[in-house]
Amino acid sequence: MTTTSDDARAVRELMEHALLDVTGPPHPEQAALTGGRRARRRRRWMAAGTGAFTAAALLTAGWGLGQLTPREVAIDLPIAGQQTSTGAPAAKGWWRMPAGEMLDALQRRLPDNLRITGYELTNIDKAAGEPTRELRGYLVVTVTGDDGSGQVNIVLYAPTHDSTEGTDQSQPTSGEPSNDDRLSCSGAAWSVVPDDCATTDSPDGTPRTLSYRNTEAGVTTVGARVRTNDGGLILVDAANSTQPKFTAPASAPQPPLTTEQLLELAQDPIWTSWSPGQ
Amino acid sequence: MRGAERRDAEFTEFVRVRTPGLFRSAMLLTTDRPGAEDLVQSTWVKAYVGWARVCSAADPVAYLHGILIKTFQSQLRRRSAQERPLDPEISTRLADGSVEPDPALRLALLTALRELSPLDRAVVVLRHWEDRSVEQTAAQLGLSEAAVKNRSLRSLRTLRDLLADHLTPADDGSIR
Repeated sequence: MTTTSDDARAVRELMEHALLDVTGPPHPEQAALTGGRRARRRRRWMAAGTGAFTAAALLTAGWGLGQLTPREVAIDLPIAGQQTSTGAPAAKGWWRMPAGEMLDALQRRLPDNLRITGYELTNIDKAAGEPTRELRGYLVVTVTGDDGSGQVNIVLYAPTHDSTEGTDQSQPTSGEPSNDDRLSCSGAAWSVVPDDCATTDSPDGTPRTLSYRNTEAGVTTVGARVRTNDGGLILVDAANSTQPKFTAPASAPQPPLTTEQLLELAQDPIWTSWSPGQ
Repeated sequence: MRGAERRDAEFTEFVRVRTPGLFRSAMLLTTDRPGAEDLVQSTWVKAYVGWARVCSAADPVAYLHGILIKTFQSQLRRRSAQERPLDPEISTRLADGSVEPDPALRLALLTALRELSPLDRAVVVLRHWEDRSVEQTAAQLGLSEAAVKNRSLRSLRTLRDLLADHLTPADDGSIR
């Protein structure tokens, strides 16, 4: 018969034997020093700044800032074909709002019980050799409340089929849903038809808003889409997940914001009030 | 030598000396080499940023391993709780770049550790690899002492069962 003490001793001896020659990567000093210096610089910049707006200004000057938390793992961008993936600057308009300013706007509109604990402002999914750029019209943040954490994703879409702009962004790329698709409860914009989905129309019969709720593998995703007067679209999603693409496991009982709050957020004039000259 | 240069020199020497031990703990926590390398690198970055606190700690090495555990927990909160399936290449990767006294044993250990929850692995590493007390382990992981004892006991039983073929029989025939 064995005792806990025997088990502990035996497991310890086995671990020592198994790891006898494990020494780690050779010459770790330089990587540690480089990474440490970079992190210290980030921390100093964050301490020197007065908020996300300052962070955005620094980014414009060429500095890539990290998250509020010491987060090394990047958030995957959850929407295929979103504007930052094209690499080329899109047409000028409110949908080109810098991520830093989007962050600042969102921060000021969150309920008091929620705080932003992580964000990404640069193109972390860049190809080899592609320079770091500030995201525009796209923001993913981690927010934390009393019941846990979740994510909020905001995407600003240019008017589709807008001949006056004529850029790669204003025209949906092949296979990418149009803004009309995104305002439909079924079809090309959805990989999975949501559990609950509702739309409203403008007086002329065109789709105006969409809100939905879907639960999959324990993760609930809620979202709202609002068509703007110029034919653009504002998409706001939230989920009780801190994983890329809002996947399992759930990180809180519910998403950080309700469908109603997201709809209100999407309809906020702050998004369309930004202009390229700002 | 200026202050920053002296600090960097001290840090570099600390990294050089302490990486092997830190990496072994990271291997037990993450159960794979790439994950351990990431974890150790993140730990060193945080140690550099908080170098003054590391240096002023009563036991800088214990403080460093505390950073490692906290970083591991932090990564768990961000990643899927689902453990990765056994990588068929793991034995190859483990054998890369070093002389293995018993790669089969290492593979068996890491495979067995993977059967534990991440938190249970952290308990095993703290209690039975780093020789922390129940009280210290509880404080480090934010658990009650009773929870540490329960998790430790359960984990040891699991490891004993999974590693029975590799554990050394004692003179009286019991497994030690």
